[in-house]
Amino acid sequence: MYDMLTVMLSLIGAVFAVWQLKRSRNDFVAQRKAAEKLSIWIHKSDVHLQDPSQALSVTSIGTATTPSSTPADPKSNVIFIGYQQSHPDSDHQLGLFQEAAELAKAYRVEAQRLQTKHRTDKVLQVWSAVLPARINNEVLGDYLEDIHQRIAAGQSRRIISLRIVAAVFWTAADTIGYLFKAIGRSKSRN
Amino acid sequence: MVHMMKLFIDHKAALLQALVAGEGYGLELIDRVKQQTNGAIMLGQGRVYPALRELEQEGLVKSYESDPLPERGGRPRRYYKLTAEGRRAATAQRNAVNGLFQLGWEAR
Repeated sequence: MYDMLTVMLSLIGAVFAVWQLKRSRNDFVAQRKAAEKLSIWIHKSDVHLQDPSQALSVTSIGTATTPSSTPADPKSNVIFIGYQQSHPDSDHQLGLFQEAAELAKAYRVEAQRLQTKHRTDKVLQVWSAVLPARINNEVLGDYLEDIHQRIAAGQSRRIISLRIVAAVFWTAADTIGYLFKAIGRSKSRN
Repeated sequence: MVHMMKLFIDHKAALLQALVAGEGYGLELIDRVKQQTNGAIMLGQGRVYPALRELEQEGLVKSYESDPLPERGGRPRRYYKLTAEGRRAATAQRNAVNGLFQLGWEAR
């Protein structure tokens, strides 16, 4: 009886987690569509050290989302460089473009991490509403901490998704056990 | 290269030994056991928390909550530490296991 209930609730929890993941992804896509016109700019000015009059002034280096059909894909982000063409030094320009490319790469990685973290928090926050306070704070809190560490370490989204499903499954199983024991204790007192 | 075989051990026993080194919370204790045994003993996260609660009900450990932490979505950590009875139980357990392992080697 207990085992059956545990398995049933865990399965419901796992289905719920998958559904929430899909839903939060759709929400994220909608948010990104709304923010397509919003560019994130990293302002930077470059000054030629030897001769300031020959300086190539970079007015801005930044990344922005393209108006593509799949805006949720961080790979669709592009890099924009604005500069005043007052310097013929191509090596200097190449260096700036390389720097900009590195910034874009760092931005993509960070955007992916933030996106995964946001979705994880959202799914587990919804799930935590049905858990007892102790399970929520202790067990789900530990799972969340572990998942955040994995995201920071750059682990793949598939692994993170599996960890979320595991978190939902085990917290569901733990909740059943916890509640049965609490009921058993109160009955034995009576 | 030495081949390390996975060891099977009762979660409660492993946690009791892990707590001898000092207090800790679930995730930290799992990591402590893994590090100390070079990965030969891996405690499953799903079974650690019920085991810790059982140890607490048996009076072998006691727990308290830390302040809420942002990396846990504002949830506190629950730290466990051995009680005097828990320390005695851990020592007795260690002596028993040591005795078991010595038995085989002395007979050689």
